[in-house]
Amino acid sequence: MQQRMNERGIILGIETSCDETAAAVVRQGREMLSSVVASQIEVHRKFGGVVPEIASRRHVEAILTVIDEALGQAGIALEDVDAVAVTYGPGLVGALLVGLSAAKGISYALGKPLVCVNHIEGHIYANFLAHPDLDPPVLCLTVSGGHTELIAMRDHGCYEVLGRTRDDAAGEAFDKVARVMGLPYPGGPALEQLAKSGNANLISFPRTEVEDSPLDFSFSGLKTAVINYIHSARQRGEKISYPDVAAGFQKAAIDELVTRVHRAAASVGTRTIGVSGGVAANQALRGALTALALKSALEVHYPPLSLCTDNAAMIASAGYFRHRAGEVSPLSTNAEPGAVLTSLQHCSGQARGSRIHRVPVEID
Amino acid sequence: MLILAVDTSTMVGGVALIDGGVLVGEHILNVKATHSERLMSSVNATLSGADIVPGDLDAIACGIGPGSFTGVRIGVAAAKGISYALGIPLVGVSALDALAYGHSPGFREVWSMIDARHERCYSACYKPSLSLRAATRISEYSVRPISEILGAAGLDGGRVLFTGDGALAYSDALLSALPDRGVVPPAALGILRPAQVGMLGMEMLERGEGGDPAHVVPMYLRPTEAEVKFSRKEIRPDGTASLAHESK
Ligand SMILES: [Zn+2]
Repeated sequence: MQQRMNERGIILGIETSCDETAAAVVRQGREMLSSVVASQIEVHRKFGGVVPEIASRRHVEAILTVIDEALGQAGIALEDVDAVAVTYGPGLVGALLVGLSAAKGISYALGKPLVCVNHIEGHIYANFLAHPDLDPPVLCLTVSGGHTELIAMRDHGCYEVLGRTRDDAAGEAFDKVARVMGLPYPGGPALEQLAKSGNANLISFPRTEVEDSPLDFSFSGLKTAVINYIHSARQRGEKISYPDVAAGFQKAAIDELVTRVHRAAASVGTRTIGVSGGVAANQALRGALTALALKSALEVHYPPLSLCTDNAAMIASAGYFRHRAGEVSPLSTNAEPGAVLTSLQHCSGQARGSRIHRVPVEID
Repeated sequence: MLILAVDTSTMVGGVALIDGGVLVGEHILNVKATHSERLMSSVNATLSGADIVPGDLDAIACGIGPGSFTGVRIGVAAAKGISYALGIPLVGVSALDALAYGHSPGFREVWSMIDARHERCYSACYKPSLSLRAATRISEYSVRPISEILGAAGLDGGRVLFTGDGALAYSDALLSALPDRGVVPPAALGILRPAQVGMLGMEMLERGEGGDPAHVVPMYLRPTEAEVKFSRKEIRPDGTASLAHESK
């Protein structure tokens, strides 16, 4: 492994993949010196979702203020930064380009290396920030409004995607169901709140299995079932107990997530689980995973709420480990709205030698 | 004063280096690769070709559009990053003002036109200066249908210059509307030059404009589609019937 980083290992992270303008300073990949997030939720609320062009306009207005704030809070001068880590994808292309272009400008002007980071990899690293003693291998569940991925992380920067959603992301299903219920944007947290006063066992919604892919997810069938339930009840003029619908839906969605984690842990033989992404803030999901962990002797890690949602500290952390492994991104790197998670160069050989032994999955 | 100018307002984009009003270097590419892929290599080629390091720069000038929303932001965000990192002033220069820079006072009017598609142009009308430097704007900045520009141009007589990629795209209509006094430059000369952004930026800096890079924002001249639909009440306050994309 090539060692290019000096001992300080101070990384400036920048993240603009969706509707949060974020910057952070992280030392040695683990110690968060600052994390600043300028949220645009209020701006997008009246549109019922993130409007990409508005998000991009806000990013370019806010980017330097957020970076300056992050450096200021960390008490770090730009000259003392060892590398600039930035999200290049996946995400909204126009939004990504603002952070990426600013990062390139800073990197070039100061002669500091640029390290481009996959947003999903960033979410995974939220747990490494939150838990200083956490080390790979980790089975990672990343769930948010944009992604639902189950990833075996063998080493820093070495990944195998075990399962992903075939249609809606988990958080997307929460948001869409919430919208049909007339809940305010953002729908996920509002739906969770409503479900607290409902009975999850009164209305049963279907659990989807993806044929021949026991570790993949599918939420669109569940979403449609819930929406159909609401529409037909409305048509018949029946009174709907929205808390019960919300609780029933949430239970079905969480069941799907938890069964996949259970199967994957058995399949790859990993006892350490790291859950991240906006949906990792859902208390019912945490409860269900904690129960699974007790039952199956697994260890489940979550980041604090502030690191579940999009932030730049997780990008800086992931960037630190990539850079420590010798990775530097060219200034010609483009934003990739559909970027796939790639492992570091040295992982491929290692993967062939010590490929995770996949035992046949037992489905209970 | 050593100024680095960057512009990505239109498909033609690039970089200029201006030292005390003298053009030291200019790098223009009119290719399909996005500005995101090529901007920093243009900056590097220009500076290193002139044996200049970023720390030598005194100020940055950047084109702020109007033009492609995403394209403009690439240059503006990169310029902000450079300016912030070096602790030197940034001045945002309207691409329309820059297009009108440096034309002969033999023209009664100069129309800066940047293609906004669907027979429309981001545009403004100028009176050229005797010094061949910054022109005086005599109209609003606006997105105009070509028909409106045809109706408004050259009413005071005299020669009229139409410049910019919008002028090139609609040159036939422009020239036939003002036979004998309408002028559209050849394609290689009718484009926005980074040197124009740099020269105008220098004049603006000398006048005390520009400074804090955090305050520089793109010139769009258009609200977003979502805002237009919202103001027409096509989006209900709860967000239903919205065209907003789900967060990805
Ligand atoms: Zn995310």
